[in-house]
Amino acid sequence: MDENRIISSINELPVLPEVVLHINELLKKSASSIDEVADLIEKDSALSSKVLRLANSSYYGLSSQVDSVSRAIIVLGFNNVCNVVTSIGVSAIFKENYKGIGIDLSGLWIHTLGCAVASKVLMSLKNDSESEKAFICGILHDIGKIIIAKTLPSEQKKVFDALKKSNKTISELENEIIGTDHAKVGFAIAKKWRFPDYILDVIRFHHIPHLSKEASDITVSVHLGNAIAKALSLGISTDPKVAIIAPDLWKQIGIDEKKIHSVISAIQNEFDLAMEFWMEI
Amino acid sequence: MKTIKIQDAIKGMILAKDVKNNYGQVLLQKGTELSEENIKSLMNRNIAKVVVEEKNDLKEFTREDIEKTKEIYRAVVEQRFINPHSDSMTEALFNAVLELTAVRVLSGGTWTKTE
Repeated sequence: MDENRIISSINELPVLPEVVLHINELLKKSASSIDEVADLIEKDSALSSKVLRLANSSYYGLSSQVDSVSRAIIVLGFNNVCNVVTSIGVSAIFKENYKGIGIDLSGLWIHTLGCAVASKVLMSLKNDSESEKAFICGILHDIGKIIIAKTLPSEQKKVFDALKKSNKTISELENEIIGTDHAKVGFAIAKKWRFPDYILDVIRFHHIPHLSKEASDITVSVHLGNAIAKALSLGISTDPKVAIIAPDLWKQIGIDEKKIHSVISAIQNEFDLAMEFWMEI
Repeated sequence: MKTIKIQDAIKGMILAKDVKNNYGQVLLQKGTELSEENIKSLMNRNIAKVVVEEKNDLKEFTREDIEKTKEIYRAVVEQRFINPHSDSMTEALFNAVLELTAVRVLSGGTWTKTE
């Protein structure tokens, strides 16, 4: 079965709240105003209270109280709030109960968060202004695993069983057993959700960044962030081992043997802060 | 380096990253030693967090303690890699994770064994 047939075979696709899709549309325009975005978020009272809780949490540790969504947009920044809203929408998908699901969704959510934090810290070393983009890509990188879990749970279980006994990668086994892999499935659903191209590229190529035409710094950061989250055992990925990484990719982000220790410590610190908020949401 | 809340900043800490406002303007450069005045000024500008260099985190326990703890956790951390010794960067990543794991265990930190 190919990825498009998988997507079209699900009667109830995991849904992102309408507001998330709207916000991503607004993000593509350059002239969206703070009020426009704030109005959209405030229409959903559960969402706006989560945004305010995050803005006031120790993750951001702001010294003044943030009491409105528009204030949150001013102090955290436009893109940051949009990413927070998307992450909240995605986190809900990880918390839905699917019948017969064979993966530990809460462990996978923590892994996702670990990958997002690691990708953000790595990207901030290369280009700080793009670091929030890397975060949201980390949040979405494994979304295809959930779609497969929902549509083909028994085939997915075969993949995980084979993974324990084999030296093949998860993508190789998924292609053999299912006919497609979680990266292609994730790409297909993210395209359906009309996410921007840089997110599609990360989801499609997070295991094989060298095959991406762009091999952008964000795609490489998420590839490395995924490996670091596994190395630090942040959460539980369904393919838990750190794969062989092409040394050039570390160079692209500017990390060498001497820097890695401080980078790892920074990621662990930031992850501890992020967990305080995201586990309650 | 570590990220701390501005309320926890104390004089003498060294900035490990530029401090920028919401418009991306650099308020204090990386490498600056924090004084009471510039901590206050950052608070007044609603800066919430700063990234500072870590003082020697290892001073509470000896190098020997760390090395012993690393040996206990070496196999656990090794299992997280297909091959922790495949190349020098992977080896460096493995060593950094092992070291951090040992330090966190010794600090009674929040590290939990999930394997």
